[in-house]
Amino acid sequence: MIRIENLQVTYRGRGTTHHAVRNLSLSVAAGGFYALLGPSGCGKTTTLRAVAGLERPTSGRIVVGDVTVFSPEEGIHVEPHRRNIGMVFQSYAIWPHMTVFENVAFPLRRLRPRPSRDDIRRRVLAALALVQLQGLEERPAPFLSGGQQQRLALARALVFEPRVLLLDEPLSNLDAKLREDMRLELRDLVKRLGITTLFVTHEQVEALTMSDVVGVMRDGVIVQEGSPREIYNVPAQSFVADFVGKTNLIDGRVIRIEDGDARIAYVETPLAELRCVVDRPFTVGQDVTVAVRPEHVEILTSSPAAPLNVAAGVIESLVFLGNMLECHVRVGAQVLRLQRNTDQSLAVGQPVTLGFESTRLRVMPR
Amino acid sequence: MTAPSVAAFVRRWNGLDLGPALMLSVAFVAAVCVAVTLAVILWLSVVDGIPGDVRYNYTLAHFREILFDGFTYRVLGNTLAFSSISLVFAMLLGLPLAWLVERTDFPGKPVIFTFMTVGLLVPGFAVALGWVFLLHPRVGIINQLLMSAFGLSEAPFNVATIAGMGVVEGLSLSPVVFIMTAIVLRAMDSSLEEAARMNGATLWETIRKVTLPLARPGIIAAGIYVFAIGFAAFDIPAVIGLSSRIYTFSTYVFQQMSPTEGIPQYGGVAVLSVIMVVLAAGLSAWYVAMQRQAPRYAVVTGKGYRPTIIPLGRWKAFSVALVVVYFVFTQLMPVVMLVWASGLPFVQVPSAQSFAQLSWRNYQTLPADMIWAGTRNTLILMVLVPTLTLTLSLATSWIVVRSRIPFRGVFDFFAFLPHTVPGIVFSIAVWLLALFVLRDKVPIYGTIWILVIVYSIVRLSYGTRMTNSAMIQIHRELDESALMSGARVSGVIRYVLVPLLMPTLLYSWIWIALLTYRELTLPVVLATSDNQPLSVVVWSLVSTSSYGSASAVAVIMLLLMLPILLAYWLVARRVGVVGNT
Ligand SMILES: Nc1ncnc2c1ncn2[C@@H]1O[C@H](COP(=O)(O)OP(=O)(O)OP(=O)(O)O)[C@@H](O)[C@H]1O
Ligand SMILES: [Mg+2]
Repeated sequence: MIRIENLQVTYRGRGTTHHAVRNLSLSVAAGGFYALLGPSGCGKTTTLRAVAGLERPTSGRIVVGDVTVFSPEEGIHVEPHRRNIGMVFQSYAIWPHMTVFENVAFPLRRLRPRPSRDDIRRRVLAALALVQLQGLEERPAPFLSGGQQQRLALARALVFEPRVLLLDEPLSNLDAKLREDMRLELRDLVKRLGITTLFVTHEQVEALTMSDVVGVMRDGVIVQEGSPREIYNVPAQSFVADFVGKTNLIDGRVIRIEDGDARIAYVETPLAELRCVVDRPFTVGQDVTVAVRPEHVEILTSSPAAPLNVAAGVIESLVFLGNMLECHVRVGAQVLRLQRNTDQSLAVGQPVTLGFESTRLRVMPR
Repeated sequence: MTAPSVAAFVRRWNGLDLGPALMLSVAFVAAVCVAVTLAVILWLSVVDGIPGDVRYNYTLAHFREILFDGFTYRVLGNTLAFSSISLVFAMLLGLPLAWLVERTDFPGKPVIFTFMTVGLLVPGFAVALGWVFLLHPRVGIINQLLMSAFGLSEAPFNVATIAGMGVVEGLSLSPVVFIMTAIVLRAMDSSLEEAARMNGATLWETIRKVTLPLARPGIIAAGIYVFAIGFAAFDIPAVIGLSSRIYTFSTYVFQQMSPTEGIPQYGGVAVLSVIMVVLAAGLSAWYVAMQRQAPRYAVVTGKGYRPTIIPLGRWKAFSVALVVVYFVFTQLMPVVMLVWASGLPFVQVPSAQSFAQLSWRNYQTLPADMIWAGTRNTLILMVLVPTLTLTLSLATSWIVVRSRIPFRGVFDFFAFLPHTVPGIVFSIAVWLLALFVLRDKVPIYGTIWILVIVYSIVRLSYGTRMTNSAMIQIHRELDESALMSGARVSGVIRYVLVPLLMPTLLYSWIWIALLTYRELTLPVVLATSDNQPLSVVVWSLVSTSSYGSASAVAVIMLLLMLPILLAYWLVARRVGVVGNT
């Protein structure tokens, strides 16, 4: 279990202060897999390093397992080497002057009391088997491929059975195909071991496919936290909607609330008047942003009866993505992104009528 | 203590990480040594009476004395003339050589680099001695030859002049210019040169209009560096000029320290030292500024290009001949002269008669105990100085590069300071410190330790430059992953940093050992008959005009140096670096 309360990390340079993390709180359940997702420079690595003890926060409280490892009020700052945390660094940080075996044995040799030689050997081999690096023990560490180095880093982080595991963009140095395989492999492994994991990434796919809980970060704070499904389907802010998956953002204003049903709001936008299902109260006249995923915008074949939730546009360009076709449709001043099956026959310059389903429209305050 | 509390204590102790504190204290010791040494000089320059006296007053009398003394300015003028001449000579020789090696298809480049590195290491006093035998107005054999050949009544050359010493210093500094400018030329983007050639410029125009202006900051920096070395030089002016009372700053200060009559004027010595430090610091600041400018000219692009190699064509044989002449003159001749003189009762022109006189006498009559003690002291220094220097450097670099300690830059500043302070000033400062401040409380004077400490402090700037740049190149996450694996800072240093730094440490260790071997300036002030290294043995023989014995010891020294040079060469080849001062 990891619990972070009101964490603040401030970097002081020459005459400048930079608040890398501001008042961040999160908690990872025992055995849980938590992903911190956010754009570059938002403070993900800083948060992770604070948990590891490599960065000294200005204030806050960090609990790992049942031990408070940082709490300035109580005068607690446990040194990194005593936190019993496994960590995989973005660069993997494999020691180039050691063999694969020595790399993995290193944490075991630091344990007190020190395990016996046989014990070390057994545990190293078990850890290497876990990440499928059997037979490479005597190989000098620099002579490993990127994927093997990543596994080695993982074996080294797990071999001493730490309380928790921290991963800083562990897949970012791998090529696309390998990355995809490793995502599931990594998740399966930590789930099998039942180890609490805090994971940092700026790739939304990784966060969505691997984690139990995703925390979306921006400028040093978590702006939304939830299951991958929630984050994707019910983004709380236009930032989250935009950052997690592709989305179309349409600015508008609430003009009417359905009589007797506060869950239905009518939003006036430059495209069309949109009837939306909302999950929180809005007032008439409020400025809002409506988000709709590309796969949820439909192309209507027949003209609808009422002009509600429809907009007329022209296909501006088509991008072939292999499994699907992305079309950009100009409606007035805005270009909307749509995803279609590749078998649909569409052509650039073709006029189309777009339809929006009320339940697929996500209204957020602006 | 009861058993459980002992266990608890041990557990607490085990958890404590003493690494940072240890590093900090070592770096602190290094910084304090430098600071105290310089403070002593400053203090003595403004205090009257015999230093160490309980009663003293602050006074500017010493400054007045020195600054109103006309002789000071004569020495200053001499020193400037001496270092200018040596600068011009070093540049004239080193620069074209660097261009030949880096930019043309000159054959045998590695050999030249090796010879140049050896040139950096041959002791200055040995070279100086060789030149005395060649060009001294009385004993110099070239003079003797010319006088008898043309029936001259006066020697045509006199090395014991400012100009003569400047030329010798210039010859021995030419390898420094060579190595520094070779690096600049190598890093230069040759596409600019190519562009000039494409636009119809001749080779000579291209060199003048493109190559030289582009490399200018680097060349100027090398020039300032060499000028500063000349300014502080001791061994060549001492061996050649001291007996004829031709002084540069270093030898003048030295002479004031041990005057032939009267008591030493410590206040005056301190003031002269302060003046030297100020002038040298100015040069050093200028040098740093020039180095900063170099990248602005986009000379170093870091791209993996190959510079264009200019074919020498029919000039090749001519250039090879010139380079051979250069090596014969600067490196071979002085050494051959040493060997020649070491076999003779007095220096003479080679002839049937003088060959008949060759013998081992100079070697056999050497004061054996002095030689043994000198060899022992030199060897002790060669082991301890690099070890201590690199220990101090490693700790300082860790504090500066790796820790988050506030004001850590201060440690770097103090470690760099010795670079700007002339060696003779350091040795005088420590001498005064040992005799008048530490005295019996810390009886270090006359022991080998005082030399170990001074040598190590002086090499600290070189050591930290090496360890700093090597440590910066080691990815921080390599340390941090060791911390996360349960290692303390001391473990990180021992199991991760030191093994990864090993090639650099080994290379620097041998280089410092070699510099220690050839060092004369530092021990000449500080050594006593108990702790003098071989270089001082040579010096004391020279100063009593026992030239035959002095050359014999110098020859022994050069022979002893060969195996270490070989080790250096093997390591340097593996690390892939060339010599550095
Ligand atoms: N040592 C430091 N000194 C000053 N500022 C720093 C330091 N380390 C990080 N920062 C700043 O803190 C902010 C957060 O950095 P952090 O490394 O946590 O970002 P990140 O979310 O991990 O980004 P990325 O995805 O690019 O790795 C950045 O703006 C960065 O410039
Ligand atoms: Mg990061």
